[in-house]
Amino acid sequence: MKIILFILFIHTTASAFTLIYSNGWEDPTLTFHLNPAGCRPETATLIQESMDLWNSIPNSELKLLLRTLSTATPAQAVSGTASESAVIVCDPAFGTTFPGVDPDGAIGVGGAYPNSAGRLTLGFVVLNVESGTIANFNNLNTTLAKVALAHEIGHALGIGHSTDTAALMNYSTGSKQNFSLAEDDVNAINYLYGRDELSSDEAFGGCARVHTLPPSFPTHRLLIVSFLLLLVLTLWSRLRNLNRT
Amino acid sequence: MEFRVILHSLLLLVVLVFAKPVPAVEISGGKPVSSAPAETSQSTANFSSFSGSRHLFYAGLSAFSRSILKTTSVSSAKKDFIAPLQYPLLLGYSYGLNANARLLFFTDYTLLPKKGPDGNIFETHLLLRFQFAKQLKKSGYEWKTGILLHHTRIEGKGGTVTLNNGGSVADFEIPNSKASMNNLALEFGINYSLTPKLSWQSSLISEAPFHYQKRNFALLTGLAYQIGSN
Repeated sequence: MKIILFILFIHTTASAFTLIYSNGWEDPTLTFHLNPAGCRPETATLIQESMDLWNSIPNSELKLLLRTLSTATPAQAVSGTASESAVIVCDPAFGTTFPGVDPDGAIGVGGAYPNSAGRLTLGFVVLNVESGTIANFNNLNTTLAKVALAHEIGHALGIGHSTDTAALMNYSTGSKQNFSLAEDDVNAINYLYGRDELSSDEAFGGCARVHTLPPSFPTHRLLIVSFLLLLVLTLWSRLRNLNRT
Repeated sequence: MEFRVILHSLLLLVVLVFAKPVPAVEISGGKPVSSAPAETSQSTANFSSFSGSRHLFYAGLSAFSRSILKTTSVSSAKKDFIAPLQYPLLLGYSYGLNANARLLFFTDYTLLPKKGPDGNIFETHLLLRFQFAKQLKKSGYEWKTGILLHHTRIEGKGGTVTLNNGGSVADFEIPNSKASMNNLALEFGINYSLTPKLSWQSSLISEAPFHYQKRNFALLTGLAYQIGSN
């Protein structure tokens, strides 16, 4: 029994996420707009896969979408003057745009700005495609490119760095050989964009294949609770009858 | 989505309600008033968690893993087969429908929340499980299915922490409030009676079962001891 307990408790790990600001975006359905100029050809696919990773968290209501028609420049993205609220751009002059950042060490920069109420309203991801730099996004292998993208998108969602070395949001992504989230990342998203299926969110995580308008009567919550109650009563009644026969 | 929930619940209803009838013990006021055939009585006396009383109460300890092949706990980001375990306390109530079937209500609560290495983040889980369980013939096993409410609470101590930020350092905010999530999920599992009072329980929990991206499987296993009956 002692051995079993040891095996059980050795799995205990930890969470350590931080935030850029106290809150996330008001609307958990967020569309990023990519300006593909200067980016490697498969950038949109890599971004979509990175978004899908964040979209895969079961307890959150976060839903990230991608459009590829932006004309935003890196300067507009960083200053929050782009016409879209969340943009992704590739910057061939990365070192100039971010003078305090080493272009040989940083694959990208992600961030977000809050409104007066403290909710995020602007977000950006700027990817380093400066030629001759070691951290040029266009030269990275697919896994590291997705890790970097998902990390910077995490910043745009309002998540800060983590002290958990397994976390995607750890400040160092160089050791990542696989593309996955840690529980710490999951907790960060859940903290900012958690689902409440006893309130307004769709039950059982919703449905990703068919998008329908919510029923006007009764609310889906009441409908489901009523039906489950009916199920239990029917079952109870049936089994009672079986007993008596 | 509601249509799918209703459809799946209907299928569940058909399976449960129209299952083949089995010889039953009728119970009134907690006392058997008519006996089942000797063979059935013999098989249930030794193994069944429903040991002749309509109301049973349980306490125990579970091990809960939030996901299977979904998250990582190592710096290489290789996915864990099961996510790191947490250990909720278990309290349960069983209502006997007949000699072989019962309704179960179990709660699992992580009394000691998972805490970060820096002590800044706390994570607590509460599972409210409502199940139908049926004994497999002449064995100590029960299969069970049901729905559950998974309540998760994440809490931060607040303040700021200075962390590496590329080539320099920066201050990041530690969450300063509680965030709660409530998620409905489906549960499938088995119970096994180790002794007349001690049973091993194991369940596969399906969260967001109809969402192809968010779909997640969690594991819950543990020991439940019968602490009372009526």
